[in-house]
Amino acid sequence: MNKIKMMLYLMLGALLLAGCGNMEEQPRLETYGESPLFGVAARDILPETVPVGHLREDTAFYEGREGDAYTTTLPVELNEDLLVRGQRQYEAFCAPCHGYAGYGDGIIALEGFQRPASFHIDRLRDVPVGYIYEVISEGFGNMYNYAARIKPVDRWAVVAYVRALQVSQNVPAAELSAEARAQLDAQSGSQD
Amino acid sequence: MAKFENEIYNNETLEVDGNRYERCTFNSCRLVYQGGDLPVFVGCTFVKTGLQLQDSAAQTVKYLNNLYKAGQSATVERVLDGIQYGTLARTQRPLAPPAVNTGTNFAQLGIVHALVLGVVVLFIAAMYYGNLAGPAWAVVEGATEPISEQFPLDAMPSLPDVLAESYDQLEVNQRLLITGYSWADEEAQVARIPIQDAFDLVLTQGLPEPAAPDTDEEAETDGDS
Repeated sequence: MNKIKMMLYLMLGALLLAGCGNMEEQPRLETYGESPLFGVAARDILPETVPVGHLREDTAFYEGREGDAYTTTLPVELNEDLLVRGQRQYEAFCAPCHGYAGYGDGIIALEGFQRPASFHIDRLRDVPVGYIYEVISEGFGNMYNYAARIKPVDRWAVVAYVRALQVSQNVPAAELSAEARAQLDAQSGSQD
Repeated sequence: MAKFENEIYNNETLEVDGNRYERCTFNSCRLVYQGGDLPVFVGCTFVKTGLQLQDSAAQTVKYLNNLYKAGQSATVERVLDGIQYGTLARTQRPLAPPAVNTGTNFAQLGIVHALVLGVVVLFIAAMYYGNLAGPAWAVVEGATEPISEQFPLDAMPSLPDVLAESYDQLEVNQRLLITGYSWADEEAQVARIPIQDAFDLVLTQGLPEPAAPDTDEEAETDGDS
């Protein structure tokens, strides 16, 4: 019995002695320090893994692309709410450069910044919606990317609104209703 | 200066100036001290014996008394403490001056404080009036004018006056294009319609499909944004 007690005391003493170190210097790594095992102590997301809520499998919706090609159809439901939402987003984020009617004559462009292209040219009427989405998401030329400022669904709303803008500025007169034609004649006449 | 040894005094009044008493006993005596040479008592016994101060010794006590009344009570207390605890020498040192509130008494600021403050004030003033070369980032090399004249505010680029006047008008004008009917190209018979009509159009007919789906390369090579 005494021997066992003696052993226990010795073990306890050994434990206590083990605690007598400088606690400031411990075998740990700084967050971004070098790690012999992983390169950097703060580990990257492992390949082939996705954080919860960050799965972006729907490339048409998140990237405007299907495979290598731009998506040509809106990946969200087109309705009036979307268009109105798109107008609000457009006039908040895009109109300062592109202008309220999309002619590339926003206040910033008129101040001397490089003027963006008008939406009402054949080239931009013929681009697929995915292209417009990508430009919003990634920027183009001097245009900054708006990925951090406009969320994907709102980017699609802006795309739909830009398309509606293009339609509004490019209607063959022959397709106008009689009522609209009368208003056109009246208003354009009054302007001349 | 007399020396007394092993004497026993009963009911006496003794002038003790300059005397030395060794192993004496005083019973109901009065010891009178007049401020002369210090008496010395060695191994004496005092029973019901009182103390009387006269002449200069009495003057000293009066002096302390007046001091005490005049508001120097702390000083007198120190003297009494010195008597009591035998550190009389302490009272002979000059007392530390009372603490002064430097926050309200500018004259009491330390000379170093005053100098530093002065330099800072001078520097700020000089910077303000532009007569002193400030830090390197604040001046243009070789310039002699004050900073405010090197970079006058009205030299900043500004909008053309015409634009500035139409600043508010700009949005109104642009909105006219999407709120009313007008010709986009009268020769080609292409019209503008209000955006709300365009909404209705795309909601009924769907978004216009591009003529031919562009590939990535084509779209970006002819871009001019």
